Amino acid sequence: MGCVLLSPLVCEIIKNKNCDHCQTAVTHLTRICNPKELLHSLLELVDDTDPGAISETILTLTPHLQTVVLRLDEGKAASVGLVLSALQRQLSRLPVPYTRQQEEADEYGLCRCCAALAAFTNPFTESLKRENGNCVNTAEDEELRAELLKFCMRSLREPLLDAELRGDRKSPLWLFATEIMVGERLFFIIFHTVGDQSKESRACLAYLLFVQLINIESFPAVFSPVFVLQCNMEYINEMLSRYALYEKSLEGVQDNSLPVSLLELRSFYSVPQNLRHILSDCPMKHLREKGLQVFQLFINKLDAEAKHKFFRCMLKTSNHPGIEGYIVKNIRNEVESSMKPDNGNKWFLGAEFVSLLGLALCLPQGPETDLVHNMDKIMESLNLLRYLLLKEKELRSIADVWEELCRIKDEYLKMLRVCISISRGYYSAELKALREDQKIKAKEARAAARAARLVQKITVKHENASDMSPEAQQQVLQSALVTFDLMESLIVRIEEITEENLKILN
Amino acid sequence: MAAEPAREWSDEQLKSDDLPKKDIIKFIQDNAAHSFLNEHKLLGNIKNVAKTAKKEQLITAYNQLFESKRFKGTDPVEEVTEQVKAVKVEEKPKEVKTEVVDEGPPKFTKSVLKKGDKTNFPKKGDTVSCWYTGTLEDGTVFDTNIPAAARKKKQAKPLSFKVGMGKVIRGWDEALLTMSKGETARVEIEPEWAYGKKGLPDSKIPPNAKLIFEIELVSTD
Repeated sequence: MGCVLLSPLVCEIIKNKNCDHCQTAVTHLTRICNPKELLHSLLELVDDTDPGAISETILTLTPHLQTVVLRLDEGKAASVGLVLSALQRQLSRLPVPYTRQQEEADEYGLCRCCAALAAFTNPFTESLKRENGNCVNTAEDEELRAELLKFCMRSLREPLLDAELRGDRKSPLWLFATEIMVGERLFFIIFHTVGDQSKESRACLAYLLFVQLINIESFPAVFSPVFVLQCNMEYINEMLSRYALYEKSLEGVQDNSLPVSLLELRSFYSVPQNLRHILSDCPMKHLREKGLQVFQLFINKLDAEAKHKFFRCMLKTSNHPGIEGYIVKNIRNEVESSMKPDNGNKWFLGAEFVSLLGLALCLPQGPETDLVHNMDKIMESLNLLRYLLLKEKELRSIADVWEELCRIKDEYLKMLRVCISISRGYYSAELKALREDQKIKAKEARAAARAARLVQKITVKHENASDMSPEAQQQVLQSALVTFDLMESLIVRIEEITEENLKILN
Repeated sequence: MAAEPAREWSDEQLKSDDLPKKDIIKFIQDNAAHSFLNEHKLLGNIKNVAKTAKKEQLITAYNQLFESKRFKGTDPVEEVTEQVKAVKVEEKPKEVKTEVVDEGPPKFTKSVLKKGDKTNFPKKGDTVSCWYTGTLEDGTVFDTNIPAAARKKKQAKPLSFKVGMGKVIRGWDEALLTMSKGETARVEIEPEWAYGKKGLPDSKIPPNAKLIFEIELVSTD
């Protein structure tokens, strides 16, 4: 009956924090009234939380809810579940701090509320630990365990997934994570692809376990690193730009060990593709730079056949000359490493290499390819060619596809020469037109200046075809011409080497 | 001796795209002598043979078979081989391994501490359950799933996983396949079949560590 007093008392406390006598009254009520009725009233208050006073309400009510639940004779586990889900519903309305300063300031009280919720669960997790000592495993215990697990997984998804968690500074949210990740068999959840835990929760769990090392002692030290990587791949996809889980999972794997069959798994296709998007589209430089490191780390872990397939895939799908150039550089490195004794393989030194080379040495739009746009890839492809020719002697003896390689090379260089001369012609013409234009404009300006001395000042308008100033345009055109010179000089060098090799052979 | 098999397909039919390679291979495998199959590289799992043999090769082999009449039973050794085959337990066709086949000596040793039932041995893909304790060479225990003796944890369950599938370190996969239900063994695994050069720093396993496990195979399905 005293429950009817709860609502006005609590409202008073929330409005006026220093209302000690109200606090005392509420505490007294929670000790003497019927716990079931109390629970009902308190939960109603939680659900009616004023959006402007979320953290105050949670902080005020949570300790009292604990008192009440502990007083229940039966249905404790279900009540714990009800309380936690009601509180979490309110908690999810609070913004998550994402810098250290924000976390310390805790303006909206999220961190304090998380601590309060962890404190609420304490006596229940302790009771489960104690119960482990007795062999009696009641249905009630199982239910309690299930509710606490649900709470943990919900918290992982919200707010922990969005928080900036770093163990080195033991922030409030990091401490919250350590407190809720109890239960020795949490790791099973990472391996299960079925179950009602959301992917985001499991991703966060994997991150906290493998990167932040929370509860890592409970993770059996018998699983193979490749299997762990495989399990983590879909979670890595969820939080790709964080890189940490990806890096950690890859580091445990031996170089050159991931088999091509793994690339057929959907997550092993998605993650590199998404990473590629970051590399080509993300405006934040530090993310692109770090992303490139992780990209290379992944490549290093693939075995020869997998690398071959991956390179083919990237060359066909990335549509980005920077990435394509990077892949071609990797191809060159693979050829080099395959030539070392005991490393020989057909993927980079045999019949299979021909198809890969064909993809590396091609101009996407034939003789009309934009050489400036595709510069990165073309320069790398010429470097690759030069390397192959310098190593002709060794390659001829190992690879039985030298004639094929030469045919591809000849076709490519022929087309490239044509492309360069077309491009050069075009850019030279543009540059000439621009310079003529400049001369005319200068004349006009001088004429206008003379006229201005006689008449009122007239502003001379600069008519620009693009947003760039004429000087900037000139620079662009000239650097394009320099690029063509570079390409041509490389081609000449390649042909020189070919000549020299012919002489040596004959 | 069986009657000479009939020539089912004409040249036209053989060249046609409607006739899959697998059918030709099956016919030749069913009817040709072992030595014939060996020479024409037609031994083994039909799927694998189909991958490596071109249609023209198969047509040639098919024709050669009827020309040379080297059918089953025409090999002098054949009859004995057939009898031996009948006695052996039927093997499942092996899948081609995608990993590099390690031809070196096994990189683990096992000593049986408690005998198992010697009847129920796990096969690849079976789910096994184990209690285990893992120590380093210096005796440090780095992992165990056996509950502390003081508290008998009802919650504790043995570790379950599918054996022989690369989910665990190779030493475990290989050792468990040699154990029978109820067996407890001490397994010493070289780093190459454990965590190798990298180790598992987060779990206190240093680089190039030899691992010693005491494993009890509780069940296998």
